[in-house]
Amino acid sequence: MTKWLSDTDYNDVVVSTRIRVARNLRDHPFPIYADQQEARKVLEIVRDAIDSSFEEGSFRHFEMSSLESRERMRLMEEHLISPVLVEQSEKSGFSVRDDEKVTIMVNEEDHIRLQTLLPGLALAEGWGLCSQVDDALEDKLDYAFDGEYGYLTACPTNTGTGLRASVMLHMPAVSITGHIGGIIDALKKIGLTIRGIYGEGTEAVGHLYQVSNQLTLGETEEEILEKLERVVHQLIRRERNTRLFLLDKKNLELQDRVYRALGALRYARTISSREAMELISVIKLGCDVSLLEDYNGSDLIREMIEIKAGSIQSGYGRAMSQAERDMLRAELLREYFN
Amino acid sequence: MLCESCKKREARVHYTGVINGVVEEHHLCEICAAGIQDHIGGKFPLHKLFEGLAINTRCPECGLSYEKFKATGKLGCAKCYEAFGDELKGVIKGIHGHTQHRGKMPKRGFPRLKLKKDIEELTRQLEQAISAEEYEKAAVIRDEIKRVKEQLELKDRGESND
Repeated sequence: MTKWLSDTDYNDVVVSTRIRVARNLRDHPFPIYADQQEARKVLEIVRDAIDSSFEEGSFRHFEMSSLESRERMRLMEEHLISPVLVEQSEKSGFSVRDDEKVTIMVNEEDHIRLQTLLPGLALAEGWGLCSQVDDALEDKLDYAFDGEYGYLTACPTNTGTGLRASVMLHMPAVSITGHIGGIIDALKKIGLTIRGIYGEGTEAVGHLYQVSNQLTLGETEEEILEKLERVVHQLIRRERNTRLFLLDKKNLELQDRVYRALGALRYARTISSREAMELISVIKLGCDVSLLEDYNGSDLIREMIEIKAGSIQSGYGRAMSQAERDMLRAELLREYFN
Repeated sequence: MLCESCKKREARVHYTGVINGVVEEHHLCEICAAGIQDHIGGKFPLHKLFEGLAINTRCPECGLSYEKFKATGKLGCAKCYEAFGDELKGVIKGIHGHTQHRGKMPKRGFPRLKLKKDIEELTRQLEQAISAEEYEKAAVIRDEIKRVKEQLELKDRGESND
């Protein structure tokens, strides 16, 4: 479960790197307009291409319609699949590689959404892996491609490279101080977007953000990745400096926040996933600035994901009411933090 | 029943919550229930680019009308790109600021196009190297261009013999 989480160089700020490309088959209608029969054909064609390109058993195939609701939610919470794939459940499926680093979603908005998910900052490595799997599939499939526009996608916002590269960052200090507002505005101006991973609108539950490229046509994949990498390094520096500022100038307030969070996690009897994520985020900040020593950063991020609604229900193998979930969540957290 | 939060998708997650002693029933879709930020429908205000455009064109392949594309922001098939011609080109230019793809391309389906693109990209790199006065690097790139041009010539000759 969540195999993409592990320790890396920037793990005080960077959580993971996700690269995805959008590809379509030349002679089939795009999934949103396809009927079930056409969608089934595409599922079979892509599955055959995967099976004949890679070692037997290296990819496991799933059809969305045969999964339980809570299972679909868990996969979404773990970022292995996207909300659109769930929305298209009657037509869609996905294949995941053993190590969970590669997911191939079929009949999402596009026929193929190929995604690599790696821990830490790994844009070049993620793209390398993605491109390699893409090459293998392209050898078997006739992609929709145009000499001028590049890879053709259902939505013109993805046309060209079809590439969306994103880095997940944990930025509690710039969130707490409110500096994040200026950062969001600045990134918009240079064709990048930043947004919360969970939560609605601009708020970011658990101080987790995703920075990604907005434009997909006109630049090469390498240029897109280099630009994103430069910006991520700036964000890392900014977050680290702000943490030092808090430690130096707001030490008492910071300690108070961290120990209150620890107290709540150790003794709460019922807790929502949103509150739990906020508290765990503060604990991680406390560990990263060495106020606390007992916990490990990537373990804490994993904990944030595993206490979400879908993961809890999937873990217990049954659907449950919110009240029951909140109680079980508090129990799990007491166990973890005591 | 529709999800009470997004009011778009079927509600599949049902639960009762008790707030201050009041029991409330909730019905959500999986996406809203997971609390995942919803980006369905695109992040880009596509409709802004369509203002003033109204044509009755339909894609001969999938039958999608330009009107429907304007409403959904989603094309129907690969052929739509041709069918919606200059209007769509304007939309793409509006989104990306460019219409010429410069990145990766399939090798198998388009061997000659791939070689031509490689030459364009290498020529660009050559100019960069020369302007940065990196002459050793420039020499390597020049040799590479020569090699790719020979390959392209071979392909051209091969095809004219078919």
